[in-house]
Amino acid sequence: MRGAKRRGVGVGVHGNADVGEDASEAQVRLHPDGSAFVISCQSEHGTGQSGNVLKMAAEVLQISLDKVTLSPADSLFTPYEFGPAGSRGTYAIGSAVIAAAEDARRQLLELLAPRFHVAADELDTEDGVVFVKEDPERRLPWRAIGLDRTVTGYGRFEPDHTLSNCLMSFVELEVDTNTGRVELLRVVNATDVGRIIDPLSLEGQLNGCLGSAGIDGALWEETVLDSGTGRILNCNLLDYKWRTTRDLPIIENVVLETPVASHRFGALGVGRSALLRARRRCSWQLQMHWGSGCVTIPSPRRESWGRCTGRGPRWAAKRDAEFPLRGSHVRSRGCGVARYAGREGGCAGRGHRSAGYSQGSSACRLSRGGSGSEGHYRAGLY
Amino acid sequence: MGLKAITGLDYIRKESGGLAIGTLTRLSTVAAHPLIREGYPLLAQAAQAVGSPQLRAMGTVGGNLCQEPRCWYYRSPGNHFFCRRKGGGVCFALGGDNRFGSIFGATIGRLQEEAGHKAEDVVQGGDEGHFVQGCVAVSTSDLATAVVALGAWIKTNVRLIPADDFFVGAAMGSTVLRPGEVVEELRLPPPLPDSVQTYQKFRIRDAIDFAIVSAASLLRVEGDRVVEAGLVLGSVAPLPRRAKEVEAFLKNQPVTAELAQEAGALAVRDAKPRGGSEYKVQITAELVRRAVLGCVPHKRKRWEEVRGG
Repeated sequence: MRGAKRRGVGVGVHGNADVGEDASEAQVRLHPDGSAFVISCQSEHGTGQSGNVLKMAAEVLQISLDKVTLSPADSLFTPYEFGPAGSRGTYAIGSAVIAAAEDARRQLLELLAPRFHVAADELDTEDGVVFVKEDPERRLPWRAIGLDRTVTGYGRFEPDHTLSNCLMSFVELEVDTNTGRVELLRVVNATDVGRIIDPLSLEGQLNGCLGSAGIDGALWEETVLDSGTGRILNCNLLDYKWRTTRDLPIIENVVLETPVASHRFGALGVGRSALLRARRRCSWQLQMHWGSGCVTIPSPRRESWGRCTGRGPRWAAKRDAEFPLRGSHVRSRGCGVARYAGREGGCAGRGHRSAGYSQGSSACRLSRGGSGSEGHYRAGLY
Repeated sequence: MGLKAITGLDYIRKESGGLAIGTLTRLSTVAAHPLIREGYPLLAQAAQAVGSPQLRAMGTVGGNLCQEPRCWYYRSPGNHFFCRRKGGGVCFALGGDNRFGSIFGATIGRLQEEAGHKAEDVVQGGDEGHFVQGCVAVSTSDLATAVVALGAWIKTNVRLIPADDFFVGAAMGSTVLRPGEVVEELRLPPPLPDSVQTYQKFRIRDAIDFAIVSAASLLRVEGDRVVEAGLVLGSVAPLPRRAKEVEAFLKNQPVTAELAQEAGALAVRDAKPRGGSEYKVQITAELVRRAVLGCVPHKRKRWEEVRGG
């Protein structure tokens, strides 16, 4: 180890059982022209989730995606929706929409069964046409329900904390010990999502959550309060440091698909796993190598800059006494378990942040049943 | 007030052995122009270091030189902090969060007319508890640091001012421009051959941020000796700070690692950081050390490769 720069690799694991938090309701309305309308109060917040529920509805109803549309998100006329948060969109909202679509489909088949003189379970529907499974030549379009009729299905998702997601991140970083500057070289995320509903938005979540939300929360973000007046000093995106696209490291994502007992598509959500732990592991490694008390490396806020001169903890304590206000984030001090301000989703389009929301221990005692192909994931946390 | 509607002030041409650059020349033009890249790489590097590609495409030479210093108290929306720079009586950064502020003292002259010789305007920190009520906002213009190091002149519609005298340490205002006076042109002296010119900008986000500490260095080297040194530090004082003691120290010295180390320490000998800017001292010393080390021939080649011009 010569020279001023040090490299380290850290790994962190995070899982949370929020993927099934809170309730969601939805309705799906079928029209005689073979189209469908999903009524849900989930609002698009930049991740493309609203497109995904349309995919699920189209898949259940076996109609093409361009025949399914989504209602405006207005609780005046939509049923209850907690909203996309905590990576619950895919599982919770998806489940409600799937249940609503299945209910609509069932009602449709029951409505047309007398016309075929068969029971409803002998029927199927595809591309807006209902047919007898045993004899597909016997078929009727949805129009047969009558031009003066629609069919509306209802679905509800009950909160379910038995399911969790899990994500692992490796971070390689380099610290310049003369200036305290930290440079992220490479990030690798790995997770099992059950089933990929939309590859692009999944990649967006992984890049955005760790790459933007997680890393920035770990290294750069700080709400600076003036200790005299209590006013926020950096209420703009120049002084509040978020990574621009040009500052991102190379992020590689490894995604596995092991179907999960969530809903019929066996998918889980990803998004809340903002991984600070990887960074913390790194900082520990580097501190151990140096030996002396480096000042809270690697956060490149003011307290981390400057050479490691051995002043370490005492200096940090003095500094803390001088500047007691720290901003709105909870940061762990050198322990492997980090609590952090929860981040919803990853995309910049999302304005909502739940600052101060404590996520629960990331040292999750997570046990997966068997090979993960079925059964419960018992999350020992929360 | 936006001056971009005025035509004819956007040019780069040779003049009297040096260069004349119109005030409305865009920073991206300056960064890419072959005459500047060959003759004044320091200026090209400084222009390239400004902000982001969008800002460089829109920003002008004059605008960058004359920019107001940055301080989050001064620039707080809603005018919550009526500070010295606005005509009030208090500097909030001195009792508050000054992590990006000056480590080489504060300004005391409030108005440009009150400001005397600019070197004496900037007062050192003084004892703990007796810090002079001045403005500690730093000059963050990249071009300012570079033009002072290059010994350029700034031509206004009224007079021709050496860059060394253009920037003031007054609490209100950052330049000597009087009302009705406009920068028209930046004049560069003849290019220095055999000089190692580097602009270093230490910041959090390389993609867009202002400097936390910056260093413009212009070193004339013969063999392994520094014949003449020009070293200007930015973002550490209310105006670009020429490290005179380091320049004198380096003259006619063979470049070694020890020399670089001592130069760095000398550059910050008089630093008196306050209110959270302590870390800047070490970074400043480090940047000076690297600037000097960049002169060593084998290191210089690697430096040029890394910088990529």
